[in-house]
Amino acid sequence: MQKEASVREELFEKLKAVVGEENISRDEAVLRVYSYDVSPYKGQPEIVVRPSNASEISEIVKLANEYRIPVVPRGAGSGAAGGAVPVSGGIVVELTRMNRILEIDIKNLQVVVEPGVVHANLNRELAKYGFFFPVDPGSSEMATIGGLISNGGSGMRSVKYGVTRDYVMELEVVLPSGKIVTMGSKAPKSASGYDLVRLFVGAEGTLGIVTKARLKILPLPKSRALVLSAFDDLEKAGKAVVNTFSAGLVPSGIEILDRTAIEAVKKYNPEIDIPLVEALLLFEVDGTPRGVKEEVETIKEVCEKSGAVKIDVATSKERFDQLWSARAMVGAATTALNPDCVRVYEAEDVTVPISNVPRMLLKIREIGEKYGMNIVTFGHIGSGNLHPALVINVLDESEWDKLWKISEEIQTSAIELGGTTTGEHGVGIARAKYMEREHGEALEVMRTIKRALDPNNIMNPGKMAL
Amino acid sequence: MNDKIIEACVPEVVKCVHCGKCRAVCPTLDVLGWDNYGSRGRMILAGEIIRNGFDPDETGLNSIFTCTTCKHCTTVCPTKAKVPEVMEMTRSILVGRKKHPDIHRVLYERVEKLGNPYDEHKDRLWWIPDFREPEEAEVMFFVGCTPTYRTVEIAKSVVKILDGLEIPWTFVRDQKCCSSPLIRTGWGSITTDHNIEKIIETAEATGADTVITSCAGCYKTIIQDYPIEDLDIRIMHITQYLAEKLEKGEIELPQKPGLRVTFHDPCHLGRHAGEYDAPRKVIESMGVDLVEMEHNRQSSWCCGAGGGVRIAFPELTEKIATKRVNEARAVDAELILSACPFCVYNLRVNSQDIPVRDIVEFIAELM
Repeated sequence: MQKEASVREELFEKLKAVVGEENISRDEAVLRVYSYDVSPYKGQPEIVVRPSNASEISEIVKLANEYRIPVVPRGAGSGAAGGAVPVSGGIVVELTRMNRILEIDIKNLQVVVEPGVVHANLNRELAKYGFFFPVDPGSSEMATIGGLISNGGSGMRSVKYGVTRDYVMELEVVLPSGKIVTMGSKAPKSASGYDLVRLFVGAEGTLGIVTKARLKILPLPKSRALVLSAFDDLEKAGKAVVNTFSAGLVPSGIEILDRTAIEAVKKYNPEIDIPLVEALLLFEVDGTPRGVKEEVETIKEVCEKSGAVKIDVATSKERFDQLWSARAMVGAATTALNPDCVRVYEAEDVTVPISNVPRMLLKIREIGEKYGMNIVTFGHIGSGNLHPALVINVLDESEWDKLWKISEEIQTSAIELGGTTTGEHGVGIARAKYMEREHGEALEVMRTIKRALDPNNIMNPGKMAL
Repeated sequence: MNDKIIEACVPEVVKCVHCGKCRAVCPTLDVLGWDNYGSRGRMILAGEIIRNGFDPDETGLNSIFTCTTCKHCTTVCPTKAKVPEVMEMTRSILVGRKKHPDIHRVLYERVEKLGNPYDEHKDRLWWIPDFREPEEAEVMFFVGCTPTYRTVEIAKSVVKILDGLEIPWTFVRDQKCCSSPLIRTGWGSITTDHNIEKIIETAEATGADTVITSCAGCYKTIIQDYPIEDLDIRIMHITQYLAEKLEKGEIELPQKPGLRVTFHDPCHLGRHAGEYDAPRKVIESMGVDLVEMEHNRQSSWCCGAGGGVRIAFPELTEKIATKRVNEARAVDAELILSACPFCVYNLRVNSQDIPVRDIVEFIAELM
């Protein structure tokens, strides 16, 4: 035990020499704070470091290998799956000091950033040039680009613009050996070699630490419009989405609020003017003013034919903002339904084929009724991604039992409907137990890759069922 | 006592779902970087202390006691978690365990002994020795400790304005510290009953029906921490009082056309009391060119002084204040105005090139 303590002391001193006294801590208060992310999982690290560059990270990882201690990378800690929670203890490597935008290369439509850049800050900077990084997570104001990359994040506009992995051109990564490697290409496309970039996007820090990223950017659309369509039947809303695609249209986003979500929003902010129906669809289209106008008309026609009971086009900026804010506030509004309860992020990211979204919504409602929980559901129907909000009194143990059962049933249903337990938040601890069911033999391939790159299993162990 | 606080605190603590949205707006996290120095980290620590038996180490105490209670986090919080209130409650619990910055105990003892936190033995009316309470008054001036002992120009300015506008006024008799510095740091109020009693006594003696104060901290404390629901007396910040008079066309303020000024919203007047318009109405009525800083109104950036931070962690306060002054510089302001003697005092000592004035000083200088 004494030997163990002196070895740990030695490691601490070596790490301190790497990052400097100001950027390392093992104070109990710090360790307790870095034990959490947004998920209900908890795990206390032994040391937290805040490095400022790839060389420091390389040294940290080498030391971790030498001392066989886990390394857990962390951005803003805004993940919902426990990805940054150090379940096996070890060193948390917080990357928020690495928050520089290194290069904005407009002529090549790309930008180079450090992993700690906050998503919203990147887009605020790019907007000055008339450009944007189209991936738009709801956590934009806090999530870091490194976290977005490592969790394979996306957001509301993924229907047209895709997900993070579609925008990562090149990555600098510190491998578990401590070696710093660059993968990918500056060229707009490349058919050369294994697509390692795509392997590292969504690897959740299990294969290395991303220290630099070259991302594709796009010009900001000149015009945007929003169509709100109300349906008295969930199935009809689902069909309207399918019919929209069939009409040859790809809106930038299609969001759904079911009755529970509409009620929650109305209770949270009674001034929001939206109809109380079974389902509301929010279509966002963008592009040239003329193109947007045409697309709005097409969506209106499609929705009318699909049985919409009310259609409202947001032309003014005020109405546009109000409708988007209605969607944005659903998550927060879920707590308004009962002031004693808060949302627990479990089963919050299920994703199914688009045509199965109505069935998934009904299934969630059915599960809620079975357990007596009013589950508010909303999400990116255009990409099949739903965010059911499980809301409980966290001080009541029996509610936790119920929550775990509901979570299991919702996620199992998603898999049965041909979907996945996570569309954009990642696996972490929360969904590790579904990996085998979702991937079968392919999980063994992942494990083989993991073993090859990280033979000592120091990189974020205990995640993704690796 | 602690059990009752814990009972009240737990439901607020669990409202924080650790989403981290507050990371972008916490002035102390912005300077110190470590998550434990931001609102989310503090809420986690409050939970650990209250629910999981954590006996905080020095870093834990510093994390809890560096919160300026600026409330910026609550305004962006999806669940509207009441972070300043949780910090005050957690601090109370820690004070009960004798774990707190020593200087906060000193403040308590000074208020208890002298009625002010500044260790001043002078009479509160030292700066206006000829004052005699009038037989009749319309308003009662609650001066506050900072204008009385540190920024006396602010106190004098209020008097000059009231006299200049021919508003019959008097002082709240025998006033003591409002207890804001004690409540924010977890020591609770020891002057509430006294001050309420004196407000009533002065009102009965002079007929005044309105208390005015130029201090955002006193204002917030009296309207939110004092049990004044049944008090038939209006409590107003002086900018609210002046804005109301301007709206009614009862007064006119001196003009300074062409001057480029910016306004720093004091947290206690803005986010805590919800008053953003009154000071702006007053400023705009003076013909100046009012420019907003990047962070304004609900998203105003704290000056770094509140919550007992300035006295316990002066270097931190200095860095936060410097950022705020830089925002004023970025919009080429020639003058920074505020409506709180504590903010004014703090920004002034941290601004090398741009002058900082309280709105009342600005008005009085032109009268």
